[in-house]
Amino acid sequence: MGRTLPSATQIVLDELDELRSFYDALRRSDQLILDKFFEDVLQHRAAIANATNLLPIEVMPFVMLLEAYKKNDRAFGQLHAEMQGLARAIETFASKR
Amino acid sequence: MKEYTGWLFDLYAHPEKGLVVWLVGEDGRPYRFHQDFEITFYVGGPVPRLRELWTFLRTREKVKLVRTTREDLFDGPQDLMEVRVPGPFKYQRLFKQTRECFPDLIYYDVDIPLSLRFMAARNVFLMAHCKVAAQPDGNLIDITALDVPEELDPQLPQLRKLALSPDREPSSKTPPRYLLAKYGGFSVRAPLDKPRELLALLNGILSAYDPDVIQTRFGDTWLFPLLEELSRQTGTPFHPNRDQSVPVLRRGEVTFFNYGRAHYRGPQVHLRGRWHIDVENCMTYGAYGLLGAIEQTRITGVPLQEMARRSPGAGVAAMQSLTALRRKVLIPYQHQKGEIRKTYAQLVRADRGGLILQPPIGIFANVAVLDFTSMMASIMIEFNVSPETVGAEDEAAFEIPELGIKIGSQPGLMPQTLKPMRDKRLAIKRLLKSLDKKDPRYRSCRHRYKPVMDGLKWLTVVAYGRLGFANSTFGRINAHEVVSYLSRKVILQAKAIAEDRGFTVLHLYVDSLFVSRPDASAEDFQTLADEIERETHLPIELQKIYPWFAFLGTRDNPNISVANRFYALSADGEHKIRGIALRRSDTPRFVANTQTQILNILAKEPDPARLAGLLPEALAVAREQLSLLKKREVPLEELVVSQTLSRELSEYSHFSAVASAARQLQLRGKSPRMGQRIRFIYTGPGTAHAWDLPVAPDPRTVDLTRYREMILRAVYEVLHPLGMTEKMLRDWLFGGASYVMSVGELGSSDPTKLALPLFNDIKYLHVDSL
Amino acid sequence: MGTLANISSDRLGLAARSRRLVLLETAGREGEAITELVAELALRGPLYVIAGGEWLPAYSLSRSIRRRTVQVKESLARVRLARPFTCYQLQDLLAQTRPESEPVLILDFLHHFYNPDIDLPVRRRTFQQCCGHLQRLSFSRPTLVFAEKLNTEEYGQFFPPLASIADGVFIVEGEIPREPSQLTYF
Repeated sequence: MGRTLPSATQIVLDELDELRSFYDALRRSDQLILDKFFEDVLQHRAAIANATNLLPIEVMPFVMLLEAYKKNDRAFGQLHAEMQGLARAIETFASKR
Repeated sequence: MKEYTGWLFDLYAHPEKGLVVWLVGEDGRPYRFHQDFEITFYVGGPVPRLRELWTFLRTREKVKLVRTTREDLFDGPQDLMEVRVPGPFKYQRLFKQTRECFPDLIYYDVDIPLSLRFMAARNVFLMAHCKVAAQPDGNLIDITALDVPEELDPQLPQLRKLALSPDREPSSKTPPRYLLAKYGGFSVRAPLDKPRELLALLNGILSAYDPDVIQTRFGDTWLFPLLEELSRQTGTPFHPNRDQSVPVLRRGEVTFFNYGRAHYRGPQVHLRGRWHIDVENCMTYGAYGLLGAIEQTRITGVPLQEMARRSPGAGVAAMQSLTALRRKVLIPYQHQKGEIRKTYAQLVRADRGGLILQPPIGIFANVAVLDFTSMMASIMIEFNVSPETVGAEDEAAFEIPELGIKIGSQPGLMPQTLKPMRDKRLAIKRLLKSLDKKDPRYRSCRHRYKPVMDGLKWLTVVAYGRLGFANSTFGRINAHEVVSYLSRKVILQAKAIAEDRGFTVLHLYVDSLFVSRPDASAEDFQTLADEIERETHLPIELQKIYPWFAFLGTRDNPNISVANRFYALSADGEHKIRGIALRRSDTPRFVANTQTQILNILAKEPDPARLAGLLPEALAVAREQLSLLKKREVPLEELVVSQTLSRELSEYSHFSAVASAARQLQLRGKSPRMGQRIRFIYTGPGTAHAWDLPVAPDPRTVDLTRYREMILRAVYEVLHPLGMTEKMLRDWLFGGASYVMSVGELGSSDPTKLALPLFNDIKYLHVDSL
Repeated sequence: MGTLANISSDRLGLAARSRRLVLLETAGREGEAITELVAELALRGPLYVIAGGEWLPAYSLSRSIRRRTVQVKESLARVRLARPFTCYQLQDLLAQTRPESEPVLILDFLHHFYNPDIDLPVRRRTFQQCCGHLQRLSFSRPTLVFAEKLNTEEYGQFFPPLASIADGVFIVEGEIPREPSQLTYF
């Protein structure tokens, strides 16, 4: 934390605040998704503040993409593992019949 | 002439003797010497005004006036008038008159403690082992230091200690009845309602035992004022000074802000020829005790009674001044250098502190903590960062293009000041680390060196803040920003090195890295530390390896992590815990104990995948504690909350619990001040009963709901990384729900699986078993 | 003494053309308006801002410039900043400022003169030295000094001598900016 500029948390919160009018005009179901995005952004607030050559709003979409990619990757991985498990279970069942 | 060998124990100005110096001899006896001592200061300004000053000073006191040139740290050689005054008392009077008559002139070397002046002039330091030559009347001829402050294992005197403490705190419901005195293997309990006998006893101890140190509890704020009053009432003299020709030195109470928090320091009583330490009125003394305080005094030059009570920042300021005096650099008075101006982009890049990267939330296996040793001090030393070197434009200057600034190559004041201290701390750390904990010498070494290390640690920590501190004589914000910038670069470099070697960097906190690799051994982590030190040229240490590490979310949102909120448990009991209830100073003991008990249960399990299996045992503890609370079987003192009054009572527009408790004390004749800690028990929404009132609160008025919620929060804090939600916990603890799910179905501690709780509903396929 | 309904460089330009040292008495809520002023001036040329108090336009400045031009970096590069943390440092900054032509803005000029840690006579002396520097600077460059009005005795001691050296004094009735958000969103 420096001396004059806001903290990393405050910088990000101020930017999110700039999105308020956009947020208010969305459906509730969309707002809930945006809430998740904002959580992801806050999770990376130190890295956002570290990118001093860019405005925070320019970095935030990268954070959202990063987290979305990670979640998708995990979901695909888990789905794949579950399907393999199903396949094995079916094989076992079939061989016992 | 006679020679003495001992330790430079105390020194102060004397109205007749000039300067008085005390030595504690190698024979254990105290020796007093005196010496005439000139005080020198410098004045700059327009020549006609200096001529007028010359005329003014020539008629006063026996001053010596010389035209001279001295070095200003930033502005180079200055033509000045040097004024030498015979004696500290004359100097104070003379300077006051001079300043009033010539307020437009520039003054240097004015506001310097006498101890520092003496040390710079005689090339000695407080608590130095030294040789003194003196005349029979005590006139000091010569003093020579026989060791150096950086000495790793200095020979120290065996000081005679007298400990005085009341049988209970003076602010308790019932006032203290006895004074407990411990000295030389004896222990005495003296009743306070027999003042003549009490004073006679204390005078006897002072005379016969002649302690070098009087360590008290509440000596500053209660005991010495009380003894003085009793002495007046009874007509029995009481002189705690060794030097009875001068009175004790008193300082008034003070409230101040430090790092955004209010602090209160009570009035002080300093003795002459003897030390008085009131452990209840010290800032950081409790962290390192007398050995650590002696170390700080040796290094900083601040007399021990001062150093024990003041913030470490005062120590660093003294060190800077001492270095400046020894280098014959001017110390400005009421004059500071402003910031080197910068562009907007440079400000945004520069105005940052150390780097913090939030950890992911969850539990992670095999985590090591690596710490840069005295990182900021090391950066100042390695890169020669000092208020006067930052912005210097010499040919060999080191450029930082991102900040648009250069660091000059002339040896900086701050690095010169810090290097001996940093090196000593590093040497001690490495010595302790080299010893096997099972080595019989380890305990005695640790006992000997840990207070020294802790005393030095506080000084190195505040040196960085001092660079940019507004009240710092030599501070300049640009220097502070350069250190912050370099610390960010260094920690990112360390992170890259760790990641190149297959480690996951979980968390960065300014000078610490938290890294993990499932297959890494202790040697692997040490190799990583060695590599980082080689590449960055800054000392780093492998602090500890933990079988698992839990990183927590914020109190308001468990999905957003926060720095410095974690726990890591070790089988040897050396846990690393930050930011949870038991570490917070306002947590009642009952709540802290509950959390500790649960953590002790979790500490038994080194495999994080099996932690969920300990939930039944942990919840049983929580239920038992709640049951004790409900039955009102918890001793009231374990429910006491202690909070700091953040402003003066008159400034509160809405009374919080702490303010209500303070107000109750005020109505009883006490004077609670901003920065003081107030103890109370919650007795209802927004209401509290001050703990230090004469009458204890009625146990039936205790706000059980409030304390129940505190228990819930404390338990949730430590269990939520295991997959526990607040709703689940509430149902189990308050809703009477049973723990019906079998182990493994609660939720995995694997954060990737926590991300998709949907799959946990599929009972026929256990994801964990694949 | 005049009144300004808002701080805009046009209004101030009109004032500054015939005035050199301009003093603006503010109510302490003009952060957004000052940011807009700095942004406007940055579009026209270099300027020097001394943050006499705790506040500087930060990211809001880049957003403000962004609304006016795509050449954000070039505009920001024209703004030079310095922050004194005591009245001594303010005095040194003013003493070190050369008599060039770019405008200089001093925000919350009186802030550090209220510091009770420094004796009042010393603060007064330093204040007089600072006023001397303001007069010196104003001979060569537009010098805008902002002073927040406070209902305190010390304000009553410091503001009048400051006003007496100014070529023009204005009371600003600026807009009230939004309160900074705390640790929550929405």
